[in-house]
Amino acid sequence: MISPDVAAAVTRLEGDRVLTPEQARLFGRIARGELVSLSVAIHALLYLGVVALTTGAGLLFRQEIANLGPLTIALVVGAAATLCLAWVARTSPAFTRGEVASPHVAFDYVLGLGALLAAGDLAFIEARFSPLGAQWPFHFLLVSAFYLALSFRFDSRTLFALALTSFAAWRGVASTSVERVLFGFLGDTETVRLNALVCGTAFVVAGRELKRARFKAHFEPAASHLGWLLVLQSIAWGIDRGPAVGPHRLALTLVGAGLALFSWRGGRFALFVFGVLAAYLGFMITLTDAVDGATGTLFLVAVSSIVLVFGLAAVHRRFPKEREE
Amino acid sequence: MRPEIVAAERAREVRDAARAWRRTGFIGEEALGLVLERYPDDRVRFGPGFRVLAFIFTLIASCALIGLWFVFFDSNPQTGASLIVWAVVFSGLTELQRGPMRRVGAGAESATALAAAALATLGGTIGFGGGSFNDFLLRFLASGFVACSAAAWRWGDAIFQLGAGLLGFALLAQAGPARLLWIGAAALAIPICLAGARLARNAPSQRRGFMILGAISVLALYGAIHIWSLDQHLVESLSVVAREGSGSDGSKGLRALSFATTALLPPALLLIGWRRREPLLLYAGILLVGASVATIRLYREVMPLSLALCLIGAACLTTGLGLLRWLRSGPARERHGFTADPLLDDARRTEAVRSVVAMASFTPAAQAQAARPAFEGGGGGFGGGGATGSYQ
Repeated sequence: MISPDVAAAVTRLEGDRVLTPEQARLFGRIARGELVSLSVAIHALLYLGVVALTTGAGLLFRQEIANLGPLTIALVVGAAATLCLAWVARTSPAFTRGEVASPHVAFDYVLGLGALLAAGDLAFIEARFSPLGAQWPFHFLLVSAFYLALSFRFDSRTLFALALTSFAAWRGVASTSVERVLFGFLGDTETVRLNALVCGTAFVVAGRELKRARFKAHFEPAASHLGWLLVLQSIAWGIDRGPAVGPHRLALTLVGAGLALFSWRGGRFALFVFGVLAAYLGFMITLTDAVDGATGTLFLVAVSSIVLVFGLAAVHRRFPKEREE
Repeated sequence: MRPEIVAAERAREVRDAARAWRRTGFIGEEALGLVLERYPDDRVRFGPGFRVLAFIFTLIASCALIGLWFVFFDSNPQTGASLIVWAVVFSGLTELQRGPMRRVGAGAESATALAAAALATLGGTIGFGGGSFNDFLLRFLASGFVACSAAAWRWGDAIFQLGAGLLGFALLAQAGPARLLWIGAAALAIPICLAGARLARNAPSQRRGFMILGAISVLALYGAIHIWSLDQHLVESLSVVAREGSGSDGSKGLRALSFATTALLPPALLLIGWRRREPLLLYAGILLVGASVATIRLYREVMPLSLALCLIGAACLTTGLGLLRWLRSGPARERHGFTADPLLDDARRTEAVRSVVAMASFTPAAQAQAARPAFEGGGGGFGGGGATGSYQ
């Protein structure tokens, strides 16, 4: 980054022998704008290239669908996906349980392109030939498993997050056909909510297990963030209407407060934010119903927000890592 | 800006740079400690999580307090006087937090600053002048521009710098020759902003403000000279004041000039950006080349969209990979002061620069995995200050 302040500091630090002449020369060139990185531009070009190429190819297939026939299209897209993934497999270093550095500047893009093309091809085959028939929601499960395998093998957090969302999508779509048999007393909405709750809990547990087993431990934040969002969302769904408004509000307050407390102790500030917001929502919506009129509500909101801001200022000392970086 | 805040911003830049050096393994813990010792932080800061929460809840509290004020003390909000009073109150609170309380990036002071600017804008909009919709809009633009400019000058927040730039050009669009004014203002502002963004006298937040204003000016210039914008009267349509002749079609000569400038401005920006090593112009050039290519297709359908997208995608990939190979094949993996490697921002991708430093000191390159204790006392390769042991 170009910065006259850093350039001046580099000169001072070199004079104080904190930096060596070689380091000072490099840092000084960057700070003075004499050495500029085009990394972002190159990545943007590669990303745009992948997006434009896949969109163009998609449109081309759509236009030529009558001439080419669905089987040809499925084969061509499958071949393109295979090519991408073959290159990724050839380029990728051996599997390890930890984090792996990207071996090539285009690695993540080609991996993403291959995975998306393969998933798109599966969707096309399902739409055209219906191999799964009435059980078509299992398509999401297949895609989820495929993404999951790729994410672990090639160390891609993006694909891991896609695997989790595809899994959640499968539960959302499949719930009405499967759970109806098991939970016939629940409506469709409640069944989807129940699925979201179970999915979220499963993701949180999976994330903890990954971390505990030191097996792709850096995937844990993706799992726990998505998991807690699903859990809180499934509870918050019931705070406005339905037969059990009160218990839902209480549950949201307690779960949010609990999450905030545990994430505070663990130094997980993103989860702390989720927890505080959820607890505040549950608590306030309960209180505003108890308070009569707009004035009382305004007073309550003002006081509670001010108290919360001061409370945050008081507890923030417990998050030393969160202070500046 | 207060001198102590400017000093704190300058020290923060150095600390951030030192942390990046440490993160990428160029310096050791001890060297980092020495830098932090020389450039200490005297401000109270929150991290991103707390900052977001403090910002949200301060805004909620501010809105609720103003609501209570109107319920109890001001039954006639049309005058705007209460809003102005509250803008002054929130400005005072911001000054208190940023001054004596030494808060920076703590969320609450940003929320009160935003509330002050928003209330000043609202007060200026509803408190003065006629009641027609056009009058309201004009007053909104003018008071918003004044409030954002004042807040940007005093507090240096990016949102105010962005607001001042956008509202400034929106105000210019209200004048008669709006397009000419945009071209003139942008042509004047771009070199000033580029110079201001590198001027050591300016505070870091002010330099960032110049970059933001420069980016807005580049986009405004392109918007004003663009052929489709000319044909659709885009700049003129931003005016809330109905003007005769504002919708007139451009002459053939003007259209030809607009065609030429639409095609030539992006490569010109790229060229100037390359020669000056100016990232803003380079990135704007790349972005606008894409926009100009899309414009050509809008006017001349030379090929089907699908084929055009495939060709554009292939061109982007070829250019990106070609640029990458060309830069990496240069001496010390750089050419004309450009490198394809990210500089000091990602530990995993700085092997190249690491190698340059290693070559400069005639020692073997360090491993890609950085962030290990770099200081090795008792005869470290570079000595003094225990600067590093990474490249031994």
